[in-house]
Amino acid sequence: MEKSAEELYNERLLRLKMAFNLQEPDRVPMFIAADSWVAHYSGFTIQDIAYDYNKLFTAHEKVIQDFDCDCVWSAAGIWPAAVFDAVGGTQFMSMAASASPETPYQFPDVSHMEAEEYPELIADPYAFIIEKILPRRCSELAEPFPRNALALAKGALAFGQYLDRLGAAYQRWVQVYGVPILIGGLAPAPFDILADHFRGIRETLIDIKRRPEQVKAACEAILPLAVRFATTSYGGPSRGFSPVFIPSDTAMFLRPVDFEQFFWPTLRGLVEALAEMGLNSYLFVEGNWDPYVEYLAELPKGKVLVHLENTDIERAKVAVGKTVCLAGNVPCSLLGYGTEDEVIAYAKNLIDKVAPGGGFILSSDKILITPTDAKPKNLLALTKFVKEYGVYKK
Amino acid sequence: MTEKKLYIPWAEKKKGLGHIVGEEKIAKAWDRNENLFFYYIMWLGTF
Repeated sequence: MEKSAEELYNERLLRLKMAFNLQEPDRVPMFIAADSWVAHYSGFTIQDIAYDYNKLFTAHEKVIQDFDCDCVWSAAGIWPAAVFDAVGGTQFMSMAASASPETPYQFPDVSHMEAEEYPELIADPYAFIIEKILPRRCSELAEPFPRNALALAKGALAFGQYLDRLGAAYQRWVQVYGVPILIGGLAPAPFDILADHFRGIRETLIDIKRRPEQVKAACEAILPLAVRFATTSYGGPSRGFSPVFIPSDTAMFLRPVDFEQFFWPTLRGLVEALAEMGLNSYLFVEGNWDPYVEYLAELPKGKVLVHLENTDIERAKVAVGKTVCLAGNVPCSLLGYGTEDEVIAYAKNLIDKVAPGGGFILSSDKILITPTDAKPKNLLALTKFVKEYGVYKK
Repeated sequence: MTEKKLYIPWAEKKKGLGHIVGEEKIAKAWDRNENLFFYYIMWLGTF
């Protein structure tokens, strides 16, 4: 007899929660971090799903139906292009302005803040975002009143509509397919907010040499905003498990001594603040964190999922496996270009080395964006193998 | 920190309004909207 959606939901949620809590569930949980990859898989372009929510959710639903995973990673990775268009967004070069409707968002490293503006940012970061950052990132918001106010309102309407549709889709997937939604909220690491979105990565790396105290003070000023970003973005039906997604992409450019001074204190502060509020965190640590892995042991035990990309996951398991749940890290290069046998061999070794003792969720090493990030037949082979081989023997 | 009044929680907004009927509902709706707007601004600022 087939299980009901409710039974499947409870079974999958328990599996995820136990792994998250550093225990051994019935088997190794797994998810596919499927982003714009879902468009190609479902016969759409990225432009299609960025502008048409029906197509966006149809594409995700096809992936839910075809791949038996323990949760949906998120459908919020495809940002609503209508919002960017309303405010004249320039930071992410959307497909509307690029060469092809198949092109994912591109992220040019641009500085929207002068070095002399640190004191202003530190004094009132929220006002600084509204008055300085937004008009520099969004061309319509730089226009004189009332055009800028109308643009902000148009963007807000589009944003609200998008959130309504997203919430409804999540509810449907829980009720119809019994799949929990992994990501419950969002808050980039404070240093990443500064480097990626305000000052620019290149300029920030120079600033940590020339004005280190201001960089530290800026991260500390941004921290309360990041905490509030997490709580105000938090939604979803499974509060108490679904963690706040904290993408961390600039740490890999830092020397360990700089990581310790500039990046880590406010990232740790963010995770600790969320844990105090009863919220779990999901650190997506891009690149290679081998030099910083030991710092993760300082985080609240059983409250954090750490998704590793190029970091040595076996070493991480030894170093911090009793503190954080690890996720990863079947390479997209293998999923996209390897054979089914090669994928299974990699997954077998991963399960053998990292799954014992629990606290492990199997996934790809990167977010799936382009068609070459994974062959569907490789993902099918992987999900089937994990269900069979990933069973914990009691 | 010298914050400008760009975020106005209900506790701030209600000052000087006198007696308010059904304040609990109004406060909840007001703060929900403030939170949603904050999310929107942060989303625009970081996406």
